[in-house]
Amino acid sequence: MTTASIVFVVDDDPSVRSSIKFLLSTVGLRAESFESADTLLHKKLPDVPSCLVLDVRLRGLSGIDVQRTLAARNIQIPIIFLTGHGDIPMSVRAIKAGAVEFLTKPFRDQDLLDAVRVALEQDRARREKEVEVTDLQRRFDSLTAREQQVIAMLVSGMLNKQIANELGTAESTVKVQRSRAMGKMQAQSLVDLAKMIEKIKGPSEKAS
Amino acid sequence: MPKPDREREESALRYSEENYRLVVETAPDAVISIDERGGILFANPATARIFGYDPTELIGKPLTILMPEFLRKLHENGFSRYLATGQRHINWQGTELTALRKNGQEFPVEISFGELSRDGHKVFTGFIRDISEREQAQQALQMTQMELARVSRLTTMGELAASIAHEVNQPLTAVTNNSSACLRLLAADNLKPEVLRRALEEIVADGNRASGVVARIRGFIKKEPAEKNRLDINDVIQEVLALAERELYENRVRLERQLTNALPLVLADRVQMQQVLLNLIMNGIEAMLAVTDQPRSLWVQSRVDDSGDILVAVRDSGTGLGSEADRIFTPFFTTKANGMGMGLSISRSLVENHGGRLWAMPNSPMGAVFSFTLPVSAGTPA
Repeated sequence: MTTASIVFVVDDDPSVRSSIKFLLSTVGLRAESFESADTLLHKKLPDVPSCLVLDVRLRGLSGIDVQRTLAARNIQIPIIFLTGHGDIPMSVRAIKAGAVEFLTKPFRDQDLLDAVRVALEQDRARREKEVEVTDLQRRFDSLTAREQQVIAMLVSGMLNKQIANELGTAESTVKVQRSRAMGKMQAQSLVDLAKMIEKIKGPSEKAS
Repeated sequence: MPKPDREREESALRYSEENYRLVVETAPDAVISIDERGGILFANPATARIFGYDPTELIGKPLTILMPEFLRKLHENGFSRYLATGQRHINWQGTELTALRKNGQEFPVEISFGELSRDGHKVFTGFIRDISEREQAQQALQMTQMELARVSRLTTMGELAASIAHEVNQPLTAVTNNSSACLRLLAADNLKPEVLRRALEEIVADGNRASGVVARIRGFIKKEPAEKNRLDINDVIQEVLALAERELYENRVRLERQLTNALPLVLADRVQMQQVLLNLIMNGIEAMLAVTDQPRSLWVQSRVDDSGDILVAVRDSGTGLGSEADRIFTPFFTTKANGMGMGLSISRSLVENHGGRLWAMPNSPMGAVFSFTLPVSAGTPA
């Protein structure tokens, strides 16, 4: 697998932990293991594509608790659950809460490796999107208040003339502000700009 | 002078008679009088409500029409024996029996009766109380208790099974992971001896761990220390049959005891032997529930076998062992919808802990025989 991804394995059983690490190593995956949910939650997770292989039944916090805690901290790491006995209601809950996969021990090696591949891919895509949004936000923040205003009006479908009227300035002034804003945002066209604004606003508007 | 006295006496007598008539007519229980031939002389209004017969249509009829078929002969024998010898064969105050309504329905009653003589002839009067509701309440209570016991047993067993699954799955997971990883490296021509050696060591360690779990489960099942005393197995059989009496009666199972008297004593834990016997008897009853076209019979036999051991056999006329005969003693194997599959496997280990054997054979023409042996306790006069 590609650069610097990492799999976190949480299981209270040392043989299970080391055997999973060994299995992942055969396909070139780096893994780090933890004996409890607490040790994992106290660690600052590195900023690389990663996923979590988590036993449901742990001493202390259960796997489901970990899933909930991470969600509350807004840490969006994909989770693969392992269970010693097929507990269907629990697996349904875990999957509904966003788990990638729920595997019953002992599992087929290929099933775990496939699940890990899917989870890492999912995390990588999410991170790329996040980086892009952060970058766009930074560009947007570099605009003056007036430029931001003009862009917002443009995106909502208003013409230069209408904007000038609304703001009480000359149309030529609006044209200058518009081209300066497009330049700072690195937008090739009005459609391009609209997509960028959509990406910035998207998640925050859904949240409100 | 005597005349007013006699009038007063007559008035007092009339009052007394009226009073008795009122008591009998308003009594909530059926009050029935019979003559020496068992013919009905009188029945009060409550009889109609309880039995469904109008009191007038009962007059002159034999008392036995108020009894189910199986009690009639018993009643006639007991009644004539009493008339001949004066010996009572049942309790006259509050005996529980089965009665028969006009519509053919059987129901439980409590009967008390007394006798008086008139002109040299005996008249018997009985009070008959319908106790179906009381019985139903008792049965409901018993059902609840049994259900509770079953649920708590299932819960315990369910938890045990889940915990066993977890304990065994952990080493199994490690074994399969380590093996799969080695196979992958081998396929890629990349398996270094040092890596292989470490993986194999872990596989061996996890294999040992899994068998350790299994050994602990075995220990758990035999955890109860046996308290062995010298006892007559017939006593244990009688105790367990008393426990199972209601179950036998309610499922219309005919019980036949074939107990050999004065058996040599065995050295055994009474409670464990009760568990084994109760398990075999309940299994026998359950195996006959599906049988509706033939009588359900359960034989319980005790004797000394050819090698001098005590042998107890429980024989039923149920559905038999079928093709599952080999597996019935395997833990967690069950043919019952609600069974855990532990009864026979535990029974067998209990008997074996006593130095005996427990096995099953088909019964002829139908059903199964479960037998177990126990060695005779040393020092018993055989």
